[in-house]
This record gives sequence, C-alpha cells and structure tokens, in this order.
Amino acid sequence: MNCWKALGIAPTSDKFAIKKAYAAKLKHHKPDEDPDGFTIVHRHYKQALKGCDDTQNNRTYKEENIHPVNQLIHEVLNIKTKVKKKTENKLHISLYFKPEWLILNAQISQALASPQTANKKDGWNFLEKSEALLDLEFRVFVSNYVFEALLALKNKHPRKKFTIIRTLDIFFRWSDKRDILEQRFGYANTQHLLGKHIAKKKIKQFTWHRPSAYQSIWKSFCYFLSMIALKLTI
Amino acid sequence: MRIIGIDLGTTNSACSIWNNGKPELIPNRLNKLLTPSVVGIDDHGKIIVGEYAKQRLVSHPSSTTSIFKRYMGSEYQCHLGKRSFNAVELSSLILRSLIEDAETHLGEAITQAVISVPAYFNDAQRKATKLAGELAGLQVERLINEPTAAAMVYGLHKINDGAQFLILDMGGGTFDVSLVEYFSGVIEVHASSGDNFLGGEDFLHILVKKYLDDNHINGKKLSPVERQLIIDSINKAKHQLTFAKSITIENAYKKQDKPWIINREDFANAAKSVLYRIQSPIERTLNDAGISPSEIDEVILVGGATRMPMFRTLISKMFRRVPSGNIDPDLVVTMGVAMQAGLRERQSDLDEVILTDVCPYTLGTEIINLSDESGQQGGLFMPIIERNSIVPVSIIKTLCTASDNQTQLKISIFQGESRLVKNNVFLGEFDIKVPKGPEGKETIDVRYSYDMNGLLDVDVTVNSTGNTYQKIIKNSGTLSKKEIKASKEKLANLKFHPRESVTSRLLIARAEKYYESALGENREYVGSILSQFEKTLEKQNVRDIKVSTHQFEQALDRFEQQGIFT
Repeated sequence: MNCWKALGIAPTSDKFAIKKAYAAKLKHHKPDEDPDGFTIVHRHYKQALKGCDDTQNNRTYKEENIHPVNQLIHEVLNIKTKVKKKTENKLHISLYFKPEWLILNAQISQALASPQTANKKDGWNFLEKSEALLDLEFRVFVSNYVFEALLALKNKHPRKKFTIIRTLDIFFRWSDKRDILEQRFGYANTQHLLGKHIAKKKIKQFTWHRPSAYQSIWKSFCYFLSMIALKLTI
Repeated sequence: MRIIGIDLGTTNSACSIWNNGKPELIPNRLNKLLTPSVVGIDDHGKIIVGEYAKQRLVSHPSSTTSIFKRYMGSEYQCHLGKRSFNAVELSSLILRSLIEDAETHLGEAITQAVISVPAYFNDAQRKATKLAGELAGLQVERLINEPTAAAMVYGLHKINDGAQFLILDMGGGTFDVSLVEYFSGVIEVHASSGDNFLGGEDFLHILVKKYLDDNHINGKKLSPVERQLIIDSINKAKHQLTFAKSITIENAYKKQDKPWIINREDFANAAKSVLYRIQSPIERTLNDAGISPSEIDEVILVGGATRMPMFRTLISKMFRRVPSGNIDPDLVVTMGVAMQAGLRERQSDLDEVILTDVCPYTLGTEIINLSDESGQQGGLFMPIIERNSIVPVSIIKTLCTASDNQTQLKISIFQGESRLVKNNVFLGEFDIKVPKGPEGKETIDVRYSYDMNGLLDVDVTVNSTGNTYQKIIKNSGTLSKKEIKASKEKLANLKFHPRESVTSRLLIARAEKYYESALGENREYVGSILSQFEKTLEKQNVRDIKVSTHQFEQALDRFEQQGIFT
C-alpha cells in the first residue's frame, strides 16, 4: 500500500504535515490496543519521512538554535578526509570553537608527528585540559579526527606498536562505541587500530561491603572450626 | 478498580495515581512523598520498610539492607538477621508497604499497578521487577521506562508542539538517556541508551573512599556500625555540597584525628572518571537519532543525582546551554507513571495522549563463525531486533542447519552491540530438535517479539515438522515456578511492623543512631531522653505519648541543627 494513501495525505516533503497525519492515524491505532495496526501505520510513517530532505527543516523556531557552520573545519574535512564525506554530510561544528580547534589541531599534529612522539603519554596531556572537548559535538569531531589520523600513521608505520591507543581509548571511549566506529571507518580499520579482541574494560561495578554477609561467613567458619574441634576431642 | 503508578527506585520509591486530570502523589505513613528503599527486620522479627529502616541502617547494619535494586535479576542473596532474601523479595516488601499506604490513603483495595524501570534494564531485570509486583499481590499492568515516564509529564506541559527534548535521568543507581519528540499529542521516543551501574551511589562510594584515604583509615578493618556511620555522614555531606561550596566533617569516626574538609572542586576531581561515563550513552543516543546537539530544544534533568553541581556543569559544557528541570527531579518519574496508569485506566482526559517507545538495545542470536579458524572469536552475533526499533515489534528470521545429519540446534539469545557474541549479554538459550538431513536442508523460523513492557518472547518453529518451541530461559536470577511459590509462602509468613507506632519507632531509631555517633555528655544526654521516652511509651497514655513525642522530636531536631552528630 502506498504510504501517502495510508496516511491520508498528498505526497509532501513537509515533515510537520506527515507527523500531523501520523498523529491523527495513531488515535485510531494506539500501540497498546492495536499493536498490529500501529506497526503498519508506523512503517508508512517512516517511509513517508524518508522522502524528506534532511537539510530542509520546516520548523522555523529551531533555526536560531543552529550555530553557523565553521567554514574552516569544513575545509579541513574536505582536504584531509575524503572518505568521511560519504557517511557524514551534515557535520555542524560551530564557529564557537574556531580558536580552540586551531590550537588543538596544531597540538594533535605535533603529537602525531611520528610514532615516537605519538606514544608519549605526556604529549597528549592537552586533551585532558581542554574545556572545549567537553562539548558533545566538538568531542565527536575531534575523536573521529584523531582516530583517522592515528589510522593513517599506523598504516605508514605498520611495524610500530602504538601503546598510546589504550590511553586515547579511555579518553574518547572508543571501545564503548566500537560498533559506531566500525560503521564509520569499516570493520577492518577499527580492528586494525583497536585490536582483535575487544578490550572492553570491565566497568568496576559498585562494590558494597555487606556486613551481614561477611559476618555470616565468619560465623559459619567458626562453626566449622568448632565442629572439627569437637570431632577431634571425641 | 484503580491502577496506581509506582516508581521503584534504588534509593527512594514513591507511588501516585491519576486523579482529576493530574497526577496525585500519595503520602506514606509518615506523611512523606518519598519512601526510602530500605528494608530491615526489627528486634521482634517484624519487617520494617522506609524511613524507620533507613535510620536503623546505622544502628543495626546486619539486619537492614538498601540499594538492592542493583541486584535485580541476579542470584544475590541478602541476609537480614537469620533470614535471607533475594532482590526480588526485598523489592516486593517495598511494594507491599507502598500499597498499604496507598490503600489507606485512597480507602480501597489496590490490585493493579504500573511500575517504572530504568530504560536500560535488560530482560532478566524487567522480569524480576514484574515478579516483585506479583509477589506483592499486584497485577503489573505495564512496566514503563523511567525517562519515558518523565517525558510524559514534560510533554503534558506542551511547551512547544514539535519540540525535541533530551531526557537525562540519573537516579541512585542507574543512568538513562532518551531523545523524545512531542507533536500533536504524540510522545515519540526516538532513541534511548543508558548505563545500569552509574548513579548517585557511585558518587557516594567515591566520596567515602576519599574520606578513608585522606584520613588513613583502613576500610576493611571497620566494624559494620562504624562503616555505616561514616557512610551516613558522608552522604549528608554529599547532599549539602549541592548548596554549600565546602563542608567540614568534624568527627565521623573515632580515629579521625582532624576535621576533614571537602569542597566541590575536590569532589568533582575525584569523581571525574565516574561522571564522564555519562558521555558514552549520550553520544550513542544522539548518534542513533541522527541529531546534532544544537537541534535539541531542551535538555531535561530527571533523578536526584542530577542535582549535583558537577553534573549540571558538565551538561552545560556538553550542550552549551543551561539544562532545565523545573519539576522536582525526585518525583517527576512518579508523576509520569501515574499518567501511564491513567492511560491504562482509559481516563477520558488522557484520550489525546499517545506514547511510543523504543527498545534500547539490539537483541539477536548466535550463529556459526566460519572465518574463525583459531577458535578465539567464538560465535557471531546476528541482530534480530535492532536497537531503537519502535515497540511493540515482532521479527522473524530463518536459520538453517550448518552440518550434515545435524539433529540439534542451539538457539542462544543475546543482547548487545558487538559483532561477537562473547562481548554481548547472554539472556538465555534452548535446544531445538530437527530431523536428520544434509547441511542447510532443515530450516527454522526464529521469532523475537518485544512488547510494550520491554519483555522479550522468543519462539521457534521447525519448518519441516511444524514443531514449535517457546523460550525457556536458563538465566541466573530468573526464578522457577517452584521457587516463586516458595518465595510467596515465605513472604506470606512475614509480619510487618504495625503502622500506628511507626512514628515513635522512627524517633527511637534516630536517637539510637545519634547514640552510636555521639560521645561524652551528649551521648549520656541522648541515652537519658531516649529511656525517658521509652518509659512514657510503656505507660500507653495517648495524651502523654503525644506530648513527649513532640518534645523528643524537637530535642533530636535541635541536635541535628547544632551539627553535634555530623
């Protein structure tokens, strides 16, 4: 069935109109009451949304939230990372971090000058100190940039060991989002850099000293000892 | 028949009901909205729950327990005095206490409830929660994700039609992230992620550790009472750090030689490694929803732990804006659960509200890894339900035999995002018998159904014989029918502490706690007013008791304010 017919509207790329039609349809197919009907309506809705252009945003009130795209960073992206363009076409890095990025970029290039400099932990201390790296968007951007640069360096020096990967992994949490990295850089590349075996750090789980359990173990131990003593005396 | 909404939290629980177009929070026997999730056994072998039990954590640590929500769905056993309980049974005791309060408040019997669970709770943990409800004599109408419940309350306020908001929910033990869009009455969860072992308790643990290290105290040599005393005073300090820049703890433990000063910055530095763990789930949620942080209209904070200044600072830096949270972060989930209960009751004022949720993790099965020659990788993970699929969802995949004359197939159910099953969470497995035949001839259909409660059902059909199999999870922590029956009997035999005397008992517990922590004159004074109060209680004169309860409470309050017992 045609998704437009199912939603009861004419074909459109207006996201808001689609959502409105979907909401109206849902009133008759609530997920609790009519799961099958709901699944079908939802499928049509997703299909209709696919046709919408991502760049065309109909919600005007949002525009003021969007920061202007930093030309400089886009230039960097275009020159240095041609592969990236395919998967990522809507990277918004705001003007906001232009000065920070200029400094960080210089520091990263310095650290990645050779495998020897890259493996020096102190050479990466600037990452911890950078306030801008707390920003979600900027952090993802820098994380991907470093990942790719490191990959390039590793390909250049295939015999060298890069012990720094562990430190960077902990900082950027690459192991946590390995599947996302695999999608972006390819499975082989990710494996090449992060290693075959996923070094998924076991999160140190909350340990609580449970006095009662401790006591009961101690009690049973004492009981055990006394039983042995009893046997011996008999 | 009314349906109540229950927020079963790690540190606090609460319940509420949908009344006249808005959520109504139900006060407990002490007239408080939050009931601490603490269970204990008193000196007469009776069960105590809530504030009273919380006070006894210090004076009677071996017969009181808390934070058991972290062990839901595991085999963990907790000893209270001579008895032992698992997390499900303890949770059901909390639920029973909440229901009693609700029944008294509403004046009718309660048999149905909606219970909230962290969004990132897995199948075993959800089943355990549902079972806890059943053990408490409730019919669990729905399990609702905590951030989704909070989103409903914020959605009700209809800030902007078409608004997208990010809910960050950090409670005592868990952290959840949900991206929600609101349009024309539809509350649509786009993506969800989380961390099941990240919450206020972890921050408390760090602060306790810092205290022990700074004062050169060996944590292993502490007695249970001493340990609880330290935890209690550090917990208070942690709460006060939300408002004060620095806190001084004079003497929480007898071997502490000088006052210990903790300020916000030191706490934030010590907790950095834990705090920064929130980055991963947030990043994943936004990545999955295909949204950049600037496209989010509002970042909403839910849960008590989000009050920490360091949490708010980090969020402001991550999103370049001030997060909002104008509804009490401790109670907003409870209100949302009431709304869901109202929806289940088909209240007319909620007619326009529709909620759609997602499954936060990928569910799949193990398949043979042909490229694995060394045997180091193990099986491959085949996703069946992709993460962030809208629920309810039901997907069928066809699998076939991998070698000639194979008679048995093992279906293993896993949850996770890794390509290799060994890195994912095992949920259960079962064996399928198939007729002999050449490789690839026999096929089976595996159907995964994930319902609105977040519970997974797996059934398998062998295509040649038409035999069907239902999932029998051999998971640790899921109880068998026999065990459930035994649990029920055990709980039925338990006696609860009478509701009426709970106020005076609470005061006594408080005084006992102070007695443990105070020294010298103060200790003697507390001891004397405590015995005086107990004498009055024995006489059973209602008016006298009322007067002396009031006096006793005031005396204890005065102590607290003077900070004698920090």
